[in-house]
Amino acid sequence: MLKNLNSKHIQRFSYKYLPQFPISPNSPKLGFSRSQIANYRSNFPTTIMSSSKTIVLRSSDGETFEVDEAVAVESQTIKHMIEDGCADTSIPLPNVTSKILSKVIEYCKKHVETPNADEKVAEEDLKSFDADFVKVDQSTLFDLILAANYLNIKSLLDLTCQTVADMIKGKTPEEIRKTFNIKNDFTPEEEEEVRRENAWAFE
Amino acid sequence: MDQGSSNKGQPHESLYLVLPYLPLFELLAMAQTCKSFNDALSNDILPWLNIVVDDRLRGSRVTDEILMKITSKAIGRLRSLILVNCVNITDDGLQNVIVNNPGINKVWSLHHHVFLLTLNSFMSVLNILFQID
Repeated sequence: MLKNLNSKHIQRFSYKYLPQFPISPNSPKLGFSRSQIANYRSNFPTTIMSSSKTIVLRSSDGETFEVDEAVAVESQTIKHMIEDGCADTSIPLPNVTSKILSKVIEYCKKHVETPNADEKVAEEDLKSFDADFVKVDQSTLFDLILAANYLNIKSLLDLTCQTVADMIKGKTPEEIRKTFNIKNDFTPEEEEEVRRENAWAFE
Repeated sequence: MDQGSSNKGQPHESLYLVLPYLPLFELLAMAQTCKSFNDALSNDILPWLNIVVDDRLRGSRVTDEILMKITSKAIGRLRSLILVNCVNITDDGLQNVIVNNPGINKVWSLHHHVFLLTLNSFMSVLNILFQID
């Protein structure tokens, strides 16, 4: 059989991963040397994450934020990026400015720190935090909604959207337009048609 | 931040995400504010999957016919229906909605003293009980 081995066979065979057999009688005849094992381990991709790992997030305007992984994975988007191995150096978030990202991180930190409120006090504390959290100007609130959606943080999306929904409650179309600076771009005919459709509700 | 001038009066993107959180009368008001919302509400099924009528003053304006028209926007996939003070809805009207939306799992009408919470899960429990044999 050895006779049939030609140079082509030998070239394909890579010696790189073979354990080396030193000649000296004291060294092992089989297996890998310690340095080989150490080298192998350092090149092996590790997915074991220690509990104190931090993640670096980069906002659209280039600012970096270092956060605990437990806080970062409140965002399903970031969680999936870490799981897919895209979080080597830092995670770029081109849709989120530093102003909004710092607020989002503040929210996630608070919600991670507060244990899933069995205690009445903790629950009340969280509720009051949430109430204060959304006391921001309209523009920031809108940006928080978009960020919560992009980062896929359900509780933040619910909180911010509910806040805006409460602003809309009880308002007429004209009042809504005023509140959110929306232009009425219906033609008179279109507007009449929509008004007639909903006449049962408003007249 | 003056979003009005940059968007030419177009509603902010985030407002579309708020639509599923609105009760019925607010949804209708949004549809009347501008073309973008009117189109969004005509074409998108998501805001119509969970209908909440919690307007105590105007709840009585909802008739069976109107209820059918509104719930039909979910194209048979209505998930929940919550009615407060809708005194002009009949049991038949409610029944028709449930029949047309077999996947519905919450129907709550304070006026009718009808509490069919998790109807779907109750039905599926029955199914499982009978299938095991």
